Amino acid sequence: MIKSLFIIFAFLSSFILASIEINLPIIDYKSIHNPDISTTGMVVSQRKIASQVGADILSQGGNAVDAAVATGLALAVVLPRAGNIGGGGFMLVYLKSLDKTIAIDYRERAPSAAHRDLFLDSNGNYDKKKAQFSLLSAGVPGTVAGFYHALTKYGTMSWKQVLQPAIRLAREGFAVPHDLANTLSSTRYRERLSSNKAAAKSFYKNDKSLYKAGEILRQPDLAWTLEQISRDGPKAFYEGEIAKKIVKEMERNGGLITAEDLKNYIVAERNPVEGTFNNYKVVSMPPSSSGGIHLIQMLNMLEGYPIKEMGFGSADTIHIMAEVMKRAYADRSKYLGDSDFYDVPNGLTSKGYAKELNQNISLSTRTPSEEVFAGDPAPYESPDTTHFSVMDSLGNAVSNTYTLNFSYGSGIMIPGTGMLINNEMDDFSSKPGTPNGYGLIGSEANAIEGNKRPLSSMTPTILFKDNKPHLVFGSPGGSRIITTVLQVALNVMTHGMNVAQAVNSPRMHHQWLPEVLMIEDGFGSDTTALLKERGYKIYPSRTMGSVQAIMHENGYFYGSADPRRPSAGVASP
Amino acid sequence: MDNFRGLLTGIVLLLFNAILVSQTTLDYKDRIHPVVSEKFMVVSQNYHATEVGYEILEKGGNAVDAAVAMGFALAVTLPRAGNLGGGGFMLLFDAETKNVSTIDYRSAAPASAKSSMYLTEDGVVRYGHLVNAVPGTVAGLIKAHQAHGKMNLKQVMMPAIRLAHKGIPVSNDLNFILNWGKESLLKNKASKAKFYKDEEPLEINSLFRQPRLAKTLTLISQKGHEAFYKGEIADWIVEDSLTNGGLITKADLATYEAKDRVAVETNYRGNRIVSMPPTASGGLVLLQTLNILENFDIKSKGHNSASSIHYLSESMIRAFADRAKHHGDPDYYNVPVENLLSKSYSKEGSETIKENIKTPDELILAGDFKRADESPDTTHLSVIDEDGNAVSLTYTLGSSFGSGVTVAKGGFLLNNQMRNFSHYYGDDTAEYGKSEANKLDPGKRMISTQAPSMVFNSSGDLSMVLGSPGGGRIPNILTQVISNIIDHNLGFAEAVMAPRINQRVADDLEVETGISPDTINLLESFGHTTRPTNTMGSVQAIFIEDNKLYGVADTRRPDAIAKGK
Repeated sequence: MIKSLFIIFAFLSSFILASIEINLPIIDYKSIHNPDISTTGMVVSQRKIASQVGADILSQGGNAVDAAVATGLALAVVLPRAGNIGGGGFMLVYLKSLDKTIAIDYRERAPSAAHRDLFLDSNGNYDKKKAQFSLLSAGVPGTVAGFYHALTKYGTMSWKQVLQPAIRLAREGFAVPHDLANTLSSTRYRERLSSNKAAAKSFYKNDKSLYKAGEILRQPDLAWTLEQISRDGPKAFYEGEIAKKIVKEMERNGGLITAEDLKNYIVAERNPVEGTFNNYKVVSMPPSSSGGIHLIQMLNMLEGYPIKEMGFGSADTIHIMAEVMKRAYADRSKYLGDSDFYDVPNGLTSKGYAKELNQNISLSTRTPSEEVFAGDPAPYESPDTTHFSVMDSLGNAVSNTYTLNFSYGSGIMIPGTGMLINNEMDDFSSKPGTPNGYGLIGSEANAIEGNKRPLSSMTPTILFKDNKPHLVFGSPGGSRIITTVLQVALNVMTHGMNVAQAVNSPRMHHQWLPEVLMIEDGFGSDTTALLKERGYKIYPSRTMGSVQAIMHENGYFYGSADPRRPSAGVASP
Repeated sequence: MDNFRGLLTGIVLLLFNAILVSQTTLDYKDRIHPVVSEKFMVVSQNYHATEVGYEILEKGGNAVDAAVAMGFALAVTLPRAGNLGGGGFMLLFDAETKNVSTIDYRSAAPASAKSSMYLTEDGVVRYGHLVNAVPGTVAGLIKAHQAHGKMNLKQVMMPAIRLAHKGIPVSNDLNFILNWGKESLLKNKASKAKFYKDEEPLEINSLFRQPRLAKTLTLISQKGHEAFYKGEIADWIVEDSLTNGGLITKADLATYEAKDRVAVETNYRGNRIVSMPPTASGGLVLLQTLNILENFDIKSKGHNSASSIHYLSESMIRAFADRAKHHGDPDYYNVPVENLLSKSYSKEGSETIKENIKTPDELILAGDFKRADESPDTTHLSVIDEDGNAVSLTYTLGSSFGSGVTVAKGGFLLNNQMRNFSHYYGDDTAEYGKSEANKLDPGKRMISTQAPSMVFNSSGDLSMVLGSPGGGRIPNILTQVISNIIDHNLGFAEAVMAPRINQRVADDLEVETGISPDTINLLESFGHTTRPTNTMGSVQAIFIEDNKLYGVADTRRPDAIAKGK
């Protein structure tokens, strides 16, 4: 009797359990912004067409690294202002088979003849034009070497195969999106690019008129360059025909990069920086980027505050975040540089150091920046960089940020190559130790030296949950990259937002000097009024960053392409 | 030294922003941007429907051709709200005559329906054949097409027929909502067979073919209104209805007509706001709310500040209180439209609003406001063609998937709109649902909060085409989008995506995620009780400025998309 009752009970309860509605995480009707969903893998980048290239590679059986390299090369064609082969950057690769994250530093290196006074004029003052728009501004490009390194060590496909889509896009062309038409037509970039013969030929029509949105842009010179690299590998770039053209341009126009410099360019494979935040593991980029260290430093500090209770977007939360950011950026200006040339102190990412810093933070009172540390702000960094994220169905992940520095670099294109050259050298501290003019100066750690890499803020990151990659993301935005990445991370880890809501939510920024609180539209006037009461100088900013993120949970990939920069997109195999 | 620092700061800031491109078409101050085009634009809640509309316009069809094509397509691709078995409303703007006309194709009560049939111990009947009202959608779409379409009906309906015949891959969203819809759909044999396999929803990415629906659409494309209301399809509906305790007869269908109505309008700070008149009551509420709001300097209060929200809330309550008492089918009840929309009446209402103090519920005129709530699942589409003609169309089945009943031979769902009458009319002990204006009568249409709308700027040019699902929240959703643009000058996409609030009479202030905690605290100090809600509505809008079209598809519902050329 009891046995049959028990059986009936078991039957009934399983029936009941089966009919209880499972709260599927897939569609979230509480959030205004919702991610794209897939179960097969995902690529997110600032150009949907480039994301599709990556997704196609995944469909063809490639892994995340194959897709990432293909997407990166495609971006050089379809996002010429930041996607590149003439610049450099950073890539995090997580390989499931090794259960390990590798940090690939392919940041540009200063030409060997570079020296600390390179950008000073005869009066010893910082010469902006020299530092940003002359050929002296060019660092030895790292992208081709970096991508090749990643592919051959961690990918599965051939170099030729992953270059194919980019070559096709350069040869056959692509439809110009509004975003590209706009930047090319704006006064600033039109002047800069038109005044360079090769660039003018690539980006404007024969009669110097503009490409309209929807028209096809072909780049035959760039296609040639990519074909060379496809045929002969990175040698074509660093020693072959392309190198020759680069050196010729340098000699012709007073640049410093020599054939030796190109030949000697090396990619540095490093251990990533790691930290924890509650039950997450945070893995990010070490020097020559400052991003990872300060991301972890700030997270360490924020762990000590009840941010969730204080609420997203409240004056209290913004205040604490500004205080934390202030201290991190003060440290950045003092301690950060290329670790191959300068000893970056280890303790910056320790929990103990964070605790120490927290002691001087008040929940109610703002600390004036001079009281944090009296020093000089870091050099201005361009917001134009680009990030892309990839995850495949095997459990691998790639987080990559790379750039030319300014949009379109220095505006100089190496003739015959269709390739813009970076102006990354401006990311060094041009005159350490003394404040002057606009010459926002930093410290010794980041002074110019031959073969050294200029300090960056790029922060490609992977968050791990239960030892699996959970969030793969990063952003452009110059000095605002680190705080952008910080806020997206917090939005997910502390505020429990879905990845799209996390990316879309408004952002703030404080970088110690100048002492202003920059905020995007969307925090509301009640909150800004409260912040003003506390003595904050509020600066309503243009949008910050362009986060391309993938979250992975329960077998689903959730992607968010930041709407701040148009034409970004998610693609899945 | 301080001055020097200040100067430094200034220069750096200048550079921060100067270095970023200043856009003409795209403003980088906004986090989210609209889709921009110059010739035509289509926005809907569903990717397939948008493609259909775009295709029709590319082929040379006009805005009405596209809207009608999309209306039929949504019946195939968005079964929970797109429909043949429901009803709705549309606004049409003729660029040549500059005239706005409307079509009321709300579903109507069968002749033999009586309120007593719908009242049970647990409230008003929700699903099944009894709650089916006589569907209006096909009549409405055909009427619009006949009056204004350029292409022939077959051409316009071909995309929908093709989608039903060839099938569409089941999206995440459809699979998810079919889980939710089990309650009503599994109870009906035809629905169960169509949407489920072994009582589980159709699998994601599986091919969803609807051959019976394809046949139904083909018949309509051949014989128009007659096919549905007098011919074969009518027979199918009636057969299904009468064998299952439904009330719809051949006579009910034969006498159903979509009706032309005169749009209602008001002027809000120099802009002409045009919306749907009764039987749609949403339009009146929207206009009334704006009339009241106009008495306050909302611009100075800042977007989504506690002060702005407070005035929105107070205006909304007063407009809604009137709805309960005065709104009904104008063929059966004399709705005092002129009075309700008079500026002096609204000014009077505004004078009872206090700064920073919420009006206690008891002081709002007791109205019949707690009626059976309309489901959030309705859908809206907006279209503008190359000549500047525009259509703003909202339609629905009532609840998601309506009554859950699929007409077996026809392959389409039927609405459950009979719920939306004031069935408690005459019962003095009832708390709500007593309004005389909206009581059930044979052949009468029940009121709706749907509010397809258009806005004309101070120069008289069409500047907005918009609408939304969202049940009772619709007019309030649209009020905020309109105020976001006119008062707060938000970017077009920002205006739609900005977090919203909703205020009903004698209810908490509903807030979406994204309103600052500081603002919430202030609102509570004014006497509001706030409650976080799921997202409200799904606005599909087109904005027009300087001869460019800006399409915005609300991110709140998956797969919504704008496309233009």
